[in-house]
Amino acid sequence: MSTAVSDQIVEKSFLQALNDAIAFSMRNDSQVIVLGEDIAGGAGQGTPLEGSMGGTFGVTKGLLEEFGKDRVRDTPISEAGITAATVGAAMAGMRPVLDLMWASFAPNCFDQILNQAAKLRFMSGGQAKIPLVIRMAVGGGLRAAAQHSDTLYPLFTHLPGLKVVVPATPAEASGLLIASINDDNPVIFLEHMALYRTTGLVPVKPEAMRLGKLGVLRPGTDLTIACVGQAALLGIEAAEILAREGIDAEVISLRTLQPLDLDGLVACVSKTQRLVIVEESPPRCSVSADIAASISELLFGKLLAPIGRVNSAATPVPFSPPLEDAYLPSVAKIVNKCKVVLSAV
Amino acid sequence: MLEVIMPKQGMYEGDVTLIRWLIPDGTDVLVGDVLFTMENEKVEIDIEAEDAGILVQSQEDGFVAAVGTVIGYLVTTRAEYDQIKAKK
Amino acid sequence: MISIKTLEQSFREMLRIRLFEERVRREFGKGDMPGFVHVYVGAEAIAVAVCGQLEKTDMITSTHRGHGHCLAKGVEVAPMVAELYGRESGLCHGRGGSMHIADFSKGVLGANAIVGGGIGLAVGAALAAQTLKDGRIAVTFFGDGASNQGVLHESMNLASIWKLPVVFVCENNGWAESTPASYSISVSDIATRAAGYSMPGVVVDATDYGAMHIAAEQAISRARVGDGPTFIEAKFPRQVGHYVGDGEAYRNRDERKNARDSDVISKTRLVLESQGVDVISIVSETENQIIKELDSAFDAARQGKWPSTDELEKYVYSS
Repeated sequence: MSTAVSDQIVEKSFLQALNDAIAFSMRNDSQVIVLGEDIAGGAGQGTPLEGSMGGTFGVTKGLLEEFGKDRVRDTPISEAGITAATVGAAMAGMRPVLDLMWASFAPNCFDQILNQAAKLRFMSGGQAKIPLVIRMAVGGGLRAAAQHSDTLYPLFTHLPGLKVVVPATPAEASGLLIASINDDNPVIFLEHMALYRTTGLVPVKPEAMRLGKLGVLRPGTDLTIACVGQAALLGIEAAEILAREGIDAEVISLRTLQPLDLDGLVACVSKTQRLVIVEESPPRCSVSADIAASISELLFGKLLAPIGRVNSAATPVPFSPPLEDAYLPSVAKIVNKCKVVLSAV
Repeated sequence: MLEVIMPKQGMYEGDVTLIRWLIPDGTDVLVGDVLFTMENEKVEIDIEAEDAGILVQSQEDGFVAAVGTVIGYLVTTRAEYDQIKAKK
Repeated sequence: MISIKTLEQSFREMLRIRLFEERVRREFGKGDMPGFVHVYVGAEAIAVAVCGQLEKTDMITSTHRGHGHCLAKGVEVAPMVAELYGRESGLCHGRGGSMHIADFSKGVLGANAIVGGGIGLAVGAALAAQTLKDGRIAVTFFGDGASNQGVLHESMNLASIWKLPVVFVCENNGWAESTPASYSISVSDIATRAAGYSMPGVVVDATDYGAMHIAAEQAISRARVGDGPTFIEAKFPRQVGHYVGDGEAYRNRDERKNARDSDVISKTRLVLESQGVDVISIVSETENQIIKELDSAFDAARQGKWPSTDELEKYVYSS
């Protein structure tokens, strides 16, 4: 699962990084509990059946054995009920981490996210503290079809009161999840499905990675490719292709959509003066549209080209592989968009 | 003495109309008696007396004003009734 | 049977709520209370019987019609009124208003304007209490209108399988705004649905304070000892419109008049009088006290400062 590289860092998968981060948080703070559908598996049957699944992708494996049934709870299929319970438990002194399985299921509990989690602190004039994390798997590419492939990045980002986290690497997964669990606000933590098996270097001793700061994954001078979550891996591949043509692209993982590191982005784009944003969401009212508008306002005179955006197609996610591939952002689409932005006068 | 007002209805905050008094001026009124009909936007609504007393009407049918405006009083004695009437 | 002393004390509490709400109705009519309000007239026995038997640390969630629950849980009058007027001195610093009124120091986790919105939150609060083993319980109040919301059913099932220390209190006044319960609910006693979730379902006449008190006592005690949830359906006829100013054009005039005849406060008064209690003095004492409190609260609210627009974003996030 993980390979030691030195005393300080180890190579592990995105999935293992998440698992370790949750366990670490639960060891350090008895208020942290995890709940969700199938997060342990085999509920009510005793070991070895109970706990054998550890979540749809295995992110919560091993937690039941270590922390017990009170703190690791499989739930019935009741998204509204379990999300409401998560909010209530957070208000009453716990730090719950809810697994909603897929972002596409979030509409089942949209009242609980929008009207309760996001608003209760504000409406109560600061009396409510809601330190919860809702984890969801997002994204296409696995031929899971429309109702299992949404990212919904813009929907969550739009709601004041929520924080939205989109890790791209195992190190980001680990650090950002620990920070999210420690955060006193409701955090939507979105894990792109295509990332679970990817590997990367992670600190041996898990530590929080501050929310609200972007990460430069590849420095560069000719243009900035700012990416939401998994799109950063596509961005890096695109940058390598561009490099072979003498173009030096900077690749950024935005890491958090709310709070957005706009200052950091301005600092990057001030230097490169060209920006392409990559986000796996349909284009209307997307995060890329929002960022493009903000950067245009802030850097209007400094930009050498209109901001380019690479989004998904304006459709539900198709099932058939060639259609899904056409729907998704791709390395080729990013390379092309970068060239368009570079050729603008 | 209780002021009789045209009360706010739900969220509507604009002007309202006293359509008509349903009880003649000077009548001895009981709690719950329907005093007048008022209208806001499109809805007509009957307003009941919140108190018992002698009704003094200080505005006439058709009167238009902001919500909360006084249109009459419920007084306890004939003397008070005469007093208010005299002032007008 | 409850003692006369308990009945007398409860009568005072119910009367206090009634006078508060009647005053809110009147003041609302003057036009300077922003938005809209829903008053708790006729349901007082439920709030008093339940909240009166809870500890300060026990938690409740309420509905858009939450003033009665707040008062019965010990929330103070002045900051409540200030909140209705949207003032900085309000319980929620003017950010919530009547429908979102909350006082976490008294265990009131908030009124909720989404029908059924508070139910799952209370179940979550009970989950916290169970996990922390701190002896608290949670109660959720909701109306007959909420009894058909999906989240209620999800929450009842969840509370049942985990034996959570929560009480579901359905305040059935026969109306969901303009829609009669007789039309929209597939059973005549909502409490019969409780059996479907393996928890006791109790129908109570909420115009009979004694019965309400006993039902509440049993449900609270069940939760407290770890035996799990109870569903109480408290029935009473709705005396006033859905919101203040609702002309109830959809309702039979006589039916509304008859509602007043079953008023719990009038009925309790008769019981006390028949036991030789000097009700007139009690009423007069209670009135004097609450009216003073209300006069001062409404004055203060009207003079109170608005929240500063510089602090518009203040409570969006915990820092």
